[in-house]
Amino acid sequence: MIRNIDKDWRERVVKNNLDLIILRLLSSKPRWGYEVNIAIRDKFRVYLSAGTLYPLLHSLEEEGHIQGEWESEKGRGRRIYKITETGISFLEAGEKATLELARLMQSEASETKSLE
Amino acid sequence: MYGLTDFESNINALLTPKRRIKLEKQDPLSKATRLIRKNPTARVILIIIVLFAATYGSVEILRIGLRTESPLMVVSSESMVPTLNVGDIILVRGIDAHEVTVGTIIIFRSPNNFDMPIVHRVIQIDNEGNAIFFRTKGDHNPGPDGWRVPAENLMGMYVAKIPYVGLLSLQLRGPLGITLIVLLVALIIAIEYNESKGAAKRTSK
Repeated sequence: MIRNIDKDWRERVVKNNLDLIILRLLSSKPRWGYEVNIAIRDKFRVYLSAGTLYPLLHSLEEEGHIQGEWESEKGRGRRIYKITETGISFLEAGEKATLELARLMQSEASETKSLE
Repeated sequence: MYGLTDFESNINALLTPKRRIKLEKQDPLSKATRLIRKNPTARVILIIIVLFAATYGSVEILRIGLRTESPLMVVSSESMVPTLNVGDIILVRGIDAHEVTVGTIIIFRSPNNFDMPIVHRVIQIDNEGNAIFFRTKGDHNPGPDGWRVPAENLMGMYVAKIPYVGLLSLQLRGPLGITLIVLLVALIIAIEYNESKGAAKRTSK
Protein backbone atom coordinates (compact mmCIF):
# COMPACT_ATOMS: atom_id res chain seq x y z
CA MET A 1 0.00 0.00 0.00
CA ILE A 2 2.84 2.36 0.90
CA ARG A 3 4.19 1.76 -2.61
CA ASN A 4 1.09 3.41 -4.06
CA ILE A 5 1.92 6.66 -2.31
CA ASP A 6 4.09 9.07 -4.24
CA LYS A 7 7.74 9.06 -3.13
CA ASP A 8 7.73 12.75 -2.13
CA TRP A 9 4.69 12.22 0.07
CA ARG A 10 6.15 9.10 1.63
CA GLU A 11 9.26 11.05 2.56
CA ARG A 12 7.24 13.95 3.88
CA VAL A 13 4.98 11.94 6.18
CA VAL A 14 7.83 9.74 7.40
CA LYS A 15 10.15 12.66 8.14
CA ASN A 16 7.39 14.63 9.87
CA ASN A 17 6.61 11.72 12.17
CA LEU A 18 10.07 10.26 12.46
CA ASP A 19 10.20 10.34 16.27
CA LEU A 20 6.94 8.35 16.56
CA ILE A 21 8.08 5.90 13.88
CA ILE A 22 11.38 5.26 15.64
CA LEU A 23 9.61 4.78 18.98
CA ARG A 24 7.12 2.35 17.43
CA LEU A 25 9.96 0.34 15.88
CA LEU A 26 11.84 0.25 19.18
CA SER A 27 8.71 -0.80 21.07
CA SER A 28 8.82 -4.21 19.36
CA LYS A 29 12.52 -4.86 20.09
CA PRO A 30 15.77 -3.03 20.87
CA ARG A 31 17.72 -1.99 17.79
CA TRP A 32 20.76 0.05 16.88
CA GLY A 33 20.78 2.93 14.38
CA TYR A 34 21.41 0.89 11.27
CA GLU A 35 18.64 -1.60 12.10
CA VAL A 36 16.20 1.27 12.62
CA ASN A 37 17.17 2.65 9.22
CA ILE A 38 16.72 -0.72 7.49
CA ALA A 39 13.34 -1.24 9.14
CA ILE A 40 12.16 2.20 7.96
CA ARG A 41 13.46 1.49 4.47
CA ASP A 42 11.67 -1.87 4.28
CA LYS A 43 8.41 -0.70 5.78
CA PHE A 44 8.04 2.80 4.38
CA ARG A 45 10.31 2.70 1.34
CA VAL A 46 12.10 5.80 2.61
CA TYR A 47 15.85 5.91 3.01
CA LEU A 48 17.10 8.18 5.78
CA SER A 49 20.59 9.57 5.85
CA ALA A 50 22.88 9.03 8.81
CA GLY A 51 23.03 12.79 9.36
CA THR A 52 19.28 12.77 10.01
CA LEU A 53 18.79 9.55 11.93
CA TYR A 54 21.74 9.49 14.32
CA PRO A 55 21.27 13.01 15.74
CA LEU A 56 17.55 12.24 16.24
CA LEU A 57 18.33 9.03 18.13
CA HIS A 58 20.64 11.06 20.32
CA SER A 59 17.94 13.68 21.01
CA LEU A 60 15.33 11.03 21.79
CA GLU A 61 17.71 9.61 24.35
CA GLU A 62 18.37 13.04 25.88
CA GLU A 63 14.59 13.51 26.20
CA GLY A 64 14.34 10.17 27.99
CA HIS A 65 12.15 8.49 25.40
CA ILE A 66 14.71 5.85 24.59
CA GLN A 67 17.67 4.43 26.42
CA GLY A 68 20.89 3.45 24.74
CA GLU A 69 23.58 1.08 25.83
CA TRP A 70 27.04 0.62 24.34
CA GLU A 71 27.36 -2.75 22.73
CA SER A 72 31.07 -2.86 23.53
CA GLU A 73 33.68 -0.65 25.18
CA LYS A 74 32.35 2.87 25.65
CA GLY A 75 32.61 5.09 22.59
CA ARG A 76 34.12 2.34 20.48
CA GLY A 77 31.06 0.52 19.27
CA ARG A 78 27.45 1.17 18.54
CA ARG A 79 24.60 2.09 20.80
CA ILE A 80 21.64 -0.27 21.11
CA TYR A 81 18.43 1.57 21.91
CA LYS A 82 15.32 0.44 23.71
CA ILE A 83 12.13 2.36 24.47
CA THR A 84 11.48 3.67 28.00
CA GLU A 85 8.22 4.06 29.95
CA THR A 86 8.21 7.78 29.09
CA GLY A 87 8.75 6.85 25.46
CA ILE A 88 5.81 4.46 25.46
CA SER A 89 3.39 7.05 26.84
CA PHE A 90 4.76 9.68 24.43
CA LEU A 91 4.28 7.25 21.54
CA GLU A 92 0.73 6.39 22.55
CA ALA A 93 -0.23 10.06 22.92
CA GLY A 94 1.40 10.86 19.58
CA GLU A 95 -0.34 8.06 17.73
CA LYS A 96 -3.69 9.00 19.27
CA ALA A 97 -3.27 12.62 18.20
CA THR A 98 -2.26 11.62 14.67
CA LEU A 99 -5.22 9.26 14.31
CA GLU A 100 -7.56 11.92 15.67
CA LEU A 101 -6.20 14.43 13.14
CA ALA A 102 -6.81 11.97 10.29
CA ARG A 103 -10.31 11.21 11.63
CA LEU A 104 -11.22 14.93 11.87
CA MET A 105 -10.00 15.53 8.34
CA GLN A 106 -12.01 12.57 7.07
CA SER A 107 -15.19 13.73 8.77
CA GLU A 108 -14.68 17.25 7.37
CA ALA A 109 -14.33 15.71 3.92
CA SER A 110 -17.51 13.64 4.27
CA GLU A 111 -19.46 16.64 5.65
CA THR A 112 -18.44 18.70 2.65
CA LYS A 113 -19.52 15.87 0.40
CA SER A 114 -22.95 15.52 2.02
CA LEU A 115 -23.56 19.28 1.61
CA GLU A 116 -22.96 19.11 -2.12
CA MET B 1 83.81 -2.11 -21.20
CA TYR B 2 83.67 -5.69 -20.18
CA GLY B 3 80.25 -6.76 -21.45
CA LEU B 4 78.28 -9.92 -21.66
CA THR B 5 79.69 -10.86 -25.07
CA ASP B 6 83.27 -10.46 -23.82
CA PHE B 7 82.42 -12.75 -20.95
CA GLU B 8 80.95 -15.24 -23.40
CA SER B 9 83.96 -15.30 -25.71
CA ASN B 10 86.40 -15.47 -22.80
CA ILE B 11 84.60 -18.43 -21.34
CA ASN B 12 84.21 -20.15 -24.68
CA ALA B 13 87.89 -19.74 -25.40
CA LEU B 14 88.55 -21.95 -22.40
CA LEU B 15 85.97 -24.58 -23.34
CA THR B 16 85.92 -27.32 -25.91
CA PRO B 17 83.62 -26.57 -28.92
CA LYS B 18 81.00 -29.03 -27.64
CA ARG B 19 80.73 -27.33 -24.28
CA ARG B 20 80.60 -23.78 -25.54
CA ILE B 21 77.79 -21.75 -24.15
CA LYS B 22 75.41 -19.20 -25.65
CA LEU B 23 74.45 -16.46 -23.24
CA GLU B 24 71.20 -14.66 -23.74
CA LYS B 25 70.55 -11.19 -22.49
CA GLN B 26 67.54 -11.99 -20.36
CA ASP B 27 66.98 -9.83 -17.36
CA PRO B 28 63.82 -10.47 -15.32
CA LEU B 29 62.12 -7.35 -16.69
CA SER B 30 62.31 -8.39 -20.33
CA LYS B 31 61.22 -11.87 -19.30
CA ALA B 32 58.15 -10.36 -17.67
CA THR B 33 57.30 -8.14 -20.66
CA ARG B 34 57.56 -11.12 -22.97
CA LEU B 35 55.29 -13.14 -20.69
CA ILE B 36 52.74 -10.36 -20.65
CA ARG B 37 52.91 -9.91 -24.42
CA LYS B 38 52.37 -13.60 -25.04
CA ASN B 39 50.05 -14.65 -22.25
CA PRO B 40 46.53 -13.12 -22.13
CA THR B 41 45.91 -14.20 -18.54
CA ALA B 42 49.10 -12.47 -17.44
CA ARG B 43 47.84 -9.35 -19.19
CA VAL B 44 44.52 -9.44 -17.31
CA ILE B 45 46.34 -9.94 -14.02
CA LEU B 46 48.57 -6.97 -14.84
CA ILE B 47 45.54 -4.78 -15.58
CA ILE B 48 43.96 -5.77 -12.26
CA ILE B 49 47.21 -5.08 -10.38
CA VAL B 50 47.55 -1.67 -12.01
CA LEU B 51 43.92 -0.81 -11.18
CA PHE B 52 44.37 -1.84 -7.56
CA ALA B 53 47.65 0.05 -7.25
CA ALA B 54 46.10 3.15 -8.77
CA THR B 55 43.12 2.98 -6.41
CA TYR B 56 44.77 2.01 -3.16
CA GLY B 57 48.22 3.48 -3.81
CA SER B 58 46.86 6.95 -4.46
CA VAL B 59 44.65 6.69 -1.39
CA GLU B 60 47.78 5.77 0.58
CA ILE B 61 49.60 8.86 -0.71
CA LEU B 62 46.60 11.04 0.15
CA ARG B 63 46.41 9.40 3.57
CA ILE B 64 49.97 10.40 4.36
CA GLY B 65 49.74 13.79 2.65
CA LEU B 66 46.50 14.82 4.32
CA ARG B 67 47.23 13.26 7.70
CA THR B 68 43.97 11.36 7.92
CA GLU B 69 42.78 7.76 7.96
CA SER B 70 40.15 8.24 5.26
CA PRO B 71 41.12 11.04 2.87
CA LEU B 72 38.35 10.29 0.37
CA MET B 73 34.75 9.71 1.33
CA VAL B 74 31.51 9.37 -0.56
CA VAL B 75 28.62 11.48 0.71
CA SER B 76 25.64 9.20 1.31
CA SER B 77 23.55 11.70 3.24
CA GLU B 78 21.21 14.49 2.26
CA SER B 79 21.78 16.46 5.41
CA MET B 80 24.35 18.85 3.85
CA VAL B 81 22.39 19.64 0.65
CA PRO B 82 23.09 21.93 -1.26
CA THR B 83 26.74 22.25 -0.10
CA LEU B 84 27.29 18.51 -0.46
CA ASN B 85 25.05 16.22 -2.46
CA VAL B 86 24.56 12.48 -2.27
CA GLY B 87 27.26 10.89 -4.40
CA ASP B 88 29.85 13.65 -4.12
CA ILE B 89 33.35 12.43 -3.36
CA ILE B 90 34.94 14.63 -0.74
CA LEU B 91 38.57 15.20 0.08
CA VAL B 92 39.20 15.15 3.83
CA ARG B 93 42.20 16.63 5.61
CA GLY B 94 43.22 15.64 9.12
CA ILE B 95 42.91 18.58 11.47
CA ASP B 96 43.75 19.35 15.07
CA ALA B 97 40.69 20.10 17.23
CA HIS B 98 42.20 23.52 18.10
CA GLU B 99 42.27 24.53 14.42
CA VAL B 100 38.53 24.03 13.96
CA THR B 101 36.55 27.26 13.71
CA VAL B 102 32.81 27.91 13.67
CA GLY B 103 31.57 27.34 10.12
CA THR B 104 34.07 24.58 9.31
CA ILE B 105 32.56 21.46 7.78
CA ILE B 106 33.97 18.56 9.79
CA ILE B 107 33.86 14.80 9.47
CA PHE B 108 33.42 13.01 12.77
CA ARG B 109 32.46 9.67 14.22
CA SER B 110 28.83 9.73 15.30
CA PRO B 111 28.67 10.02 19.12
CA ASN B 112 26.28 7.04 19.16
CA ASN B 113 28.04 4.87 16.60
CA PHE B 114 31.80 4.74 16.36
CA ASP B 115 31.73 3.37 12.81
CA MET B 116 29.36 5.93 11.36
CA PRO B 117 31.14 8.98 9.99
CA ILE B 118 29.02 12.13 9.69
CA VAL B 119 29.72 15.32 7.73
CA HIS B 120 28.19 18.40 9.37
CA ARG B 121 29.03 22.05 9.93
CA VAL B 122 30.37 23.34 13.25
CA ILE B 123 28.02 25.96 14.70
CA GLN B 124 29.55 26.34 18.15
CA ILE B 125 32.69 25.27 19.99
CA ASP B 126 32.65 24.55 23.72
CA ASN B 127 36.00 24.75 25.48
CA GLU B 128 35.84 23.08 28.85
CA GLY B 129 39.26 23.05 30.43
CA ASN B 130 41.30 20.71 28.28
CA ALA B 131 38.26 19.24 26.55
CA ILE B 132 36.76 20.59 23.33
CA PHE B 133 33.25 19.81 22.16
CA PHE B 134 31.66 20.75 18.85
CA ARG B 135 28.02 21.62 18.31
CA THR B 136 27.07 20.63 14.79
CA LYS B 137 24.26 21.01 12.28
CA GLY B 138 23.51 19.67 8.84
CA ASP B 139 22.92 22.54 6.38
CA HIS B 140 19.76 20.81 5.22
CA ASN B 141 18.45 19.93 8.70
CA PRO B 142 16.00 22.34 10.33
CA GLY B 143 17.74 22.43 13.70
CA PRO B 144 21.14 21.76 15.26
CA ASP B 145 22.12 18.20 16.20
CA GLY B 146 21.23 17.35 19.77
CA TRP B 147 24.70 16.11 20.60
CA ARG B 148 28.05 17.58 21.49
CA VAL B 149 30.84 15.96 19.51
CA PRO B 150 33.95 15.32 21.64
CA ALA B 151 37.24 16.30 20.00
CA GLU B 152 38.42 12.67 19.93
CA ASN B 153 35.62 11.83 17.48
CA LEU B 154 37.02 14.34 14.97
CA MET B 155 38.28 12.67 11.77
CA GLY B 156 39.07 15.72 9.67
CA MET B 157 37.74 18.67 7.76
CA TYR B 158 36.17 18.94 4.35
CA VAL B 159 38.56 20.38 1.75
CA ALA B 160 37.10 19.86 -1.73
CA LYS B 161 34.59 17.76 -3.61
CA ILE B 162 34.19 15.97 -6.90
CA PRO B 163 30.47 16.17 -7.63
CA TYR B 164 28.42 12.98 -8.04
CA VAL B 165 31.28 10.65 -9.10
CA GLY B 166 30.72 8.66 -5.94
CA LEU B 167 27.23 7.62 -7.05
CA LEU B 168 29.01 4.94 -9.03
CA SER B 169 30.96 3.81 -5.99
CA LEU B 170 27.79 3.75 -3.86
CA GLN B 171 26.21 1.53 -6.52
CA LEU B 172 29.32 -0.63 -6.85
CA ARG B 173 29.32 -1.36 -3.14
CA GLY B 174 26.04 -3.29 -3.45
CA PRO B 175 25.59 -6.82 -4.81
CA LEU B 176 24.81 -5.35 -8.23
CA GLY B 177 28.19 -3.64 -8.37
CA ILE B 178 30.07 -6.80 -7.42
CA THR B 179 28.19 -8.76 -10.09
CA LEU B 180 29.09 -6.06 -12.58
CA ILE B 181 32.80 -6.24 -11.74
CA VAL B 182 32.84 -10.06 -11.89
CA LEU B 183 31.07 -10.00 -15.25
CA LEU B 184 33.50 -7.41 -16.58
CA VAL B 185 36.54 -9.45 -15.55
CA ALA B 186 34.99 -12.62 -17.01
CA LEU B 187 34.29 -10.76 -20.24
CA ILE B 188 37.91 -9.57 -20.54
CA ILE B 189 39.23 -13.08 -19.95
CA ALA B 190 36.76 -14.55 -22.48
CA ILE B 191 37.78 -12.06 -25.15
CA GLU B 192 41.48 -12.66 -24.55
CA TYR B 193 40.95 -16.42 -24.60
CA ASN B 194 39.03 -16.29 -27.89
CA GLU B 195 41.67 -14.09 -29.46
CA SER B 196 44.50 -16.42 -28.52
CA LYS B 197 42.53 -19.44 -29.73
CA GLY B 198 41.86 -17.68 -33.04
CA ALA B 199 45.51 -16.80 -33.35
CA ALA B 200 46.52 -20.41 -32.65
CA LYS B 201 44.14 -21.64 -35.36
CA ARG B 202 45.49 -19.14 -37.87
CA THR B 203 49.07 -20.20 -37.26
CA SER B 204 48.26 -23.93 -37.43
CA LYS B 205 46.64 -23.56 -40.88
